[in-house]
Amino acid sequence: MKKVLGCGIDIEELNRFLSKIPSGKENSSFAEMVYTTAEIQNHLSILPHVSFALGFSCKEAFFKAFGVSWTNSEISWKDIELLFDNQNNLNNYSIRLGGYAKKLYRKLKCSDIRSSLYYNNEYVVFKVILIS
Amino acid sequence: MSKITANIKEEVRNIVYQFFAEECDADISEIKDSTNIISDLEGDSLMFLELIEIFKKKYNLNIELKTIAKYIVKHPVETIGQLIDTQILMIEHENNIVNL
Repeated sequence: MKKVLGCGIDIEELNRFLSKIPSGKENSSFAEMVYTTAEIQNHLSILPHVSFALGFSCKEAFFKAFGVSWTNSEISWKDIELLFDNQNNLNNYSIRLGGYAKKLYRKLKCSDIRSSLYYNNEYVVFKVILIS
Repeated sequence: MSKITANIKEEVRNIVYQFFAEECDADISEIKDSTNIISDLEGDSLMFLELIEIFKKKYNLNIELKTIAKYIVKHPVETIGQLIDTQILMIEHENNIVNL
């Protein structure tokens, strides 16, 4: 029987991310600290004003689902990667876990991830459920 | 790595106080070193990352988030005063902060 091992939900304000989108003129050290190179390229190509916020919200939701934070575990922001398939529908995406997030996923004996996202003109929401 | 002077300490303190006053819409006179960042100011991880970005840029710091996280696991940051002390150590030791 499948069991819920963890659940995380996060909400972010879009306007807090507007200044954090890297431009061609200047690299954003925030983006370099938090997102993988693949994510930065992907988010820049797909509705950047929404995708960077969703990427961050996804990472926060995973931290909560795992019951850890980046300051009390070995998990890193870049261990959780959100990549969108196309800009026509942000609900088409994939999540990759690496590093300590992957180790934790295996340690908890997770076998599946259910996730969903929502956004409007002001907020983004990301929800993660870890299943055994 | 920088030698920490009284001026740098004062500058860090002013930046941190000003940052939280603006971000949390708080009166700067009500923020103290003992103010709890989460329960008193409703601060969040995004604010903490923003502050790290500010100091990385201002002092051209070579420090990784993972290093900061490892330090904070051993030395939790809950108050404004603890955050100021951590930022000063980041400026002073950069990636070597993990060895403290």
